[in-house]
Amino acid sequence: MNKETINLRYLTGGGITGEMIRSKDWTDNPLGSPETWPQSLRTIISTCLNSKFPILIFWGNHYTMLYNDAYFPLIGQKHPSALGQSAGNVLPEIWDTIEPMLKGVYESGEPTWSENQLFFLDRSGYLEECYFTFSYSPIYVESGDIGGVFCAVTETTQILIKERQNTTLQHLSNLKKVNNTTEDVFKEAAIALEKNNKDFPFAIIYKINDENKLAQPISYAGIEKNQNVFPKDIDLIKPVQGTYNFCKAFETNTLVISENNGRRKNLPKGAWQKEATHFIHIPITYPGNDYPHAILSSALNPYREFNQSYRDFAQSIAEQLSLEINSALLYEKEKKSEEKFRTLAETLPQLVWITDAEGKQEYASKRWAEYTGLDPKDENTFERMVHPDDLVNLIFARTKSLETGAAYSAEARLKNRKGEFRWHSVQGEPIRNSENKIIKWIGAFNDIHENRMFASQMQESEEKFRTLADSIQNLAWMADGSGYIFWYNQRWYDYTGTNLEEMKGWGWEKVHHPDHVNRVVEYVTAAWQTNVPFELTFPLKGKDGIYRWFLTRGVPIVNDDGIVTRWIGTNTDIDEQKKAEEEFRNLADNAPMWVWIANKNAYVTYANKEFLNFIGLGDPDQFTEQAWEKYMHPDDVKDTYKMFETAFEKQQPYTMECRFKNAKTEEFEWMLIKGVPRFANTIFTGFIGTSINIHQEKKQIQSLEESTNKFKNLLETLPQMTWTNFPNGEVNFYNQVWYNYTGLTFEQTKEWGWQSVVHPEDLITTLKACAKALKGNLFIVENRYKKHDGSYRWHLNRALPIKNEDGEIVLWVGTATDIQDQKEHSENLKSQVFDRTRDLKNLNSELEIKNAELINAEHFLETVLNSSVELVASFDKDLNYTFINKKVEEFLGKNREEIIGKNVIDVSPGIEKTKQYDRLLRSLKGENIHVQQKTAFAKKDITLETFLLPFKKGEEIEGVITLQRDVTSFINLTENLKDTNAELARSNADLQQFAHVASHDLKEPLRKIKLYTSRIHEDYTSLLPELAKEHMEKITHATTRMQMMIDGVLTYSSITASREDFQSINLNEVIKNVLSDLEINIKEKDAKINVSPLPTIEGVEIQLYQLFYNLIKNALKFSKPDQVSLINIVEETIVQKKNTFTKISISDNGIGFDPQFAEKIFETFVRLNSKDRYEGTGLGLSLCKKIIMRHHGKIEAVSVEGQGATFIISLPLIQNKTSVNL
Amino acid sequence: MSQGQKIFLLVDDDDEDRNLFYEALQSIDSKFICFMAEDGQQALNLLAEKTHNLPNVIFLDINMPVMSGWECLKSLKTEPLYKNIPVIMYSTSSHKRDMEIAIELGALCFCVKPENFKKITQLLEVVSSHISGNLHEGIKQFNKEYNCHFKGL
Repeated sequence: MNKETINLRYLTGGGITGEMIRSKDWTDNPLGSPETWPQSLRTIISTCLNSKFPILIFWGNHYTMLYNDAYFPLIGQKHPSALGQSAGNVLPEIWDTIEPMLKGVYESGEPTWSENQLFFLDRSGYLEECYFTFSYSPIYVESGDIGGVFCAVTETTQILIKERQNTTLQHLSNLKKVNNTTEDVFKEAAIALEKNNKDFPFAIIYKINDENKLAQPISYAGIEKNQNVFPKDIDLIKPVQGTYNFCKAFETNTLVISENNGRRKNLPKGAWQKEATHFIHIPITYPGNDYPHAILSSALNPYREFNQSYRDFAQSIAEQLSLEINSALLYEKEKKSEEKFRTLAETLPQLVWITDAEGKQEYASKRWAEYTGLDPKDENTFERMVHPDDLVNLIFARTKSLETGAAYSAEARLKNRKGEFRWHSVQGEPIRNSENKIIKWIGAFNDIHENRMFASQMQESEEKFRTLADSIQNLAWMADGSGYIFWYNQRWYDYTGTNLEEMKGWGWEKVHHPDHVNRVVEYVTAAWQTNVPFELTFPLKGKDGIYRWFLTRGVPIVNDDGIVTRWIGTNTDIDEQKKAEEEFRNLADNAPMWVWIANKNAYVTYANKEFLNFIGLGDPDQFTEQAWEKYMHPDDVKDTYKMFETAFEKQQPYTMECRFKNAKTEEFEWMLIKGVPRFANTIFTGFIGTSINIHQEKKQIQSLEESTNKFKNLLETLPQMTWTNFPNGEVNFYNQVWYNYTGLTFEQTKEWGWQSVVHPEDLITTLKACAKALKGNLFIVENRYKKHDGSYRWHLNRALPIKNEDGEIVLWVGTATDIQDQKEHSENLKSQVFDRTRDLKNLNSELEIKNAELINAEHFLETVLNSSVELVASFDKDLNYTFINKKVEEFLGKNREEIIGKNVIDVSPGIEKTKQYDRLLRSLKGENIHVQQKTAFAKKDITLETFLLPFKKGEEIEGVITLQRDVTSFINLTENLKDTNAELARSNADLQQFAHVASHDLKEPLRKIKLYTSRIHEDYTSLLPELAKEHMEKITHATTRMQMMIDGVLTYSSITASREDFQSINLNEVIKNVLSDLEINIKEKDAKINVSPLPTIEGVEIQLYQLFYNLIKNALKFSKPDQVSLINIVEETIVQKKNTFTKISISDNGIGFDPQFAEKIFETFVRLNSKDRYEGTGLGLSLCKKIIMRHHGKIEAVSVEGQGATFIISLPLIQNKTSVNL
Repeated sequence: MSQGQKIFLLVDDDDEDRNLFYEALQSIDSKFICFMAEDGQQALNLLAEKTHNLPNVIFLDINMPVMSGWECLKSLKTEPLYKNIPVIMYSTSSHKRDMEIAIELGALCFCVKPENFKKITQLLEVVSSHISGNLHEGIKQFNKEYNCHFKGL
């Protein structure tokens, strides 16, 4: 073992890093070679190398980095060069953060603790999002100073990212589950994604439309709607640059990554300071579909590699979204089917409703709302509409059904919007989901009011009937429910000579005849048990011991609960009758027909032998009073009783036919029955009647009658009003509904009596329909019938003839159905349809006119286009010619047939390489293009001006119209004009510049000349000879004149140059200023000036001042020296061609001028007079003319030489704006 | 500088005009101090040196090389130290527009350079006697008296 190995023993072990430290050349390292390292470092290195936990040591002033095997994966490719390097060099990207921490440890000795600290670490060739939990602690060296920092570190990147991803997935799976539409899902998904703006700096979800042609954004995460990073509408059929990857994701239905390459600018950065460099397009599919339902386009975390884990995460997002979408789609489907149901429910006549599983109303049909007048959404509609008396029952039925899940039905009165209660049947049925759980209740209310009312009327009449039967005759008694008699009237005791003690209970048996008592007991016992009222005849023993026959009648009294609480009975003395009857019987038994007697209950109390033999009761002793019905044909019983009821009630004779069973043949035979009422002491006791066998006769019409009766029975059950009438039109039957409705009887309305019920306005129509029908047609008519309350309701009447076997009409059957509601509804509809039809008609006629116009217009257009000098052509979407005018034929040198319908490439080969073709394509995408281009045509360079206009049908571009014209000559002309204009402008500017410079610069030396001559004049006057003085005078005079001229030129040129705006100028003010400034001159000449009032005009103030200044000064100047100067200024307003002018004449009495010079005097530098006599620049009047011209006016001069001059100016009051800058 | 001493600044590129101005000023009072500058820039430099001897009035020509009178006037009126010194535009120009610009830019008034020496002397007499009073009114009076105004051009 040599020295070196011994010294390096502390470096043994330590894996790869240990080996590296050992073999490293430490020569130039500030740490020096390992054998020189201090003990403290050695100890700590040894600890570090032998630890399996990532440990980093910063040593010395350079923070030299030493670490172990567990550490180096944390810094990636920085290892191994990092080993022994200064930390500042190794970790420059995070040095700003960790250096202060390290320094702190060095200085204070306080350890640090950082948990999940984010660093952007360049360890894999890019800045990576990394998280570490670490602690820095001081390492003390032998001297007691701090020599280094010990760092235990662990990377938490994976954990944190995983956590974050899980949170996002959790957010997605926690989307509101119920009643989500797909749109809701996308919106909420975007919100969830936005919360993870580290992995998804921004994202857009595109929805694929139904035809798989177009993708459109539906929600945005971390990006504003109007931020056009990705295209708004993506055409999936024709991908363009920028949508290839998106379309690829759609086509392949797989995740596609695309690189930004700096193409898209200003991307939202999410949580980062840096824009994303890559995007992903993740298809969101749902089961059973080959194409995605949506595509999630997202930016990727710029600080993470898109590795498998990131990709898995993105896929999970897509899968989660698919699940959510799927359930939303199911929900939407369910919603649709519910809508379908509702549409159906709205057409039903019933009031339809739906509640949730707990019975809370979710839906009610319109009829429901119309009937109740309630809002279905209101609380407690149920309680509000149901009659309080029915509410408990109904709630009970409902509650029970809600508990058991069974359908329920009940009847209840429901309040309509008028506050009336009508009976309805109530039905409710559960709707179950696939798990058989009740999710809804659906139900209907059906109006059964009419039926119900009928039933209740029946009940009333029964009560009446009972009351009627309660009459008391002679002997009377009362018993309890079991038949125990507890009371007799006094008449009983008087007759029998008994008392209550003897009679109570069953004591009455004692006064009955021994031969009859058993029969009576048996009969009465049966009556007690069945609670049926009874009548019975039997002999009763009087107190004298003699038996007399009595008729007894027992009636049970029923309480509210339907229990018989007592019986009331009467006994009538019929002994006389009984004896007469016996005599009668002897007679009757020998009669060749049936003879019978029926009591008040229509029970047969006597039948003769003929009768008894027929029905098979040969022995008259065996006959007890009984109903006939068991011997009658069942079909006849009802009618018979009806007849009885009427007959008995009215106590009138009656005749009827019915069938009895012949006991011998077992066949029913027709009998004609005649009954006559019987009276005992004017009290009705029943009927006595005879019956003749009419079977043979009856048989012939039997079949017809049978069917008629059957029919009538059927008719009686119909809910509509129903009648039958004979072929002659007389009504012979109405059902009960008719009577209920009209409140009238059969007698009042039979035959043609129904006419009183028909609304007078409808009567003729109805009768006409009847007449028509009776000729063999169907009877259909709508009319109004009067209700018992006086109101009318619309009915639809229909009647059908019933024919016999021979085809003859034997009966008509008619119904009248209440169509008031429909009528009202259809009247509404009718008026709506009428309105709509009228609108449509109007529209139609408008359209016809339009159409005619269009046809004319089309023809006109074609003529115009063909005569146009422009080339007009139109193309369809595929750039086939659809229209050309003649000019195009000429231009292309081809005829119409060679062009129309052909593609532009076929017509003009090579065009696809030209800009014109590009323009056509651009225009097809909606661009309006206007361009001028030079092109070679017929060996000439010509300029074509081209318009390309896309034309649309709706939003769709249908094709392109091109308009072209040869503008070569126009362009040339314009170019020439432009040149000339520029030339002119330039020379004009030169001139102005010259005038300005000349006048200004000339003034300078002139002023000096004047200044020095004046100095000579002032300082040296006495020294100069007279002649020199004279010359000096002349110099002064000449310079003054020169100065005036220069000023004149300057002013003249500045008129052109100045561009002051015109203003409202009061000319009176202007003249006032001029006169005040000319005050000295006026005094000099002793002039008199008269001015008439002047108007206000539009003009430039300074110029108008100059104008009048010059003109007045002129008048003063050219006055005659020997005469008082008179100047008159006269104004006159003139209207000429809609313009108003002011005409001002300034006349003087001066020297005037020769009229031949009347125009010349306005030219520049023209002087008519010698300058010695009249000073002047020769510019004054030309300046005036220029000012007048600029004000669009006129100036002229009139004079006779020697007799004064008049200057007449005309100026418009208002300047025409367009001509101001002439 | 003693109280009451009057300091003039003439900014003019024309040395003859400067001489005449100085001569006229001295003829009034030989104690008057007159600074001279040949252009706007020189004037500003000069003022920067003389912060303790700022002139009571500045006569400023318009057409000058290096820096025109207009530019100089703008600088003077934006500098808090100078903006209260009255400036009289002093030019051969009698153009109305120039006079308007002068007032817009904050000059006290506009004087057309007189055409004889006597008038220069008279102008400076007016100015020096009004220097601590109403200078503007004085010059107005002068202009009216000697027909230096421009209106009836």
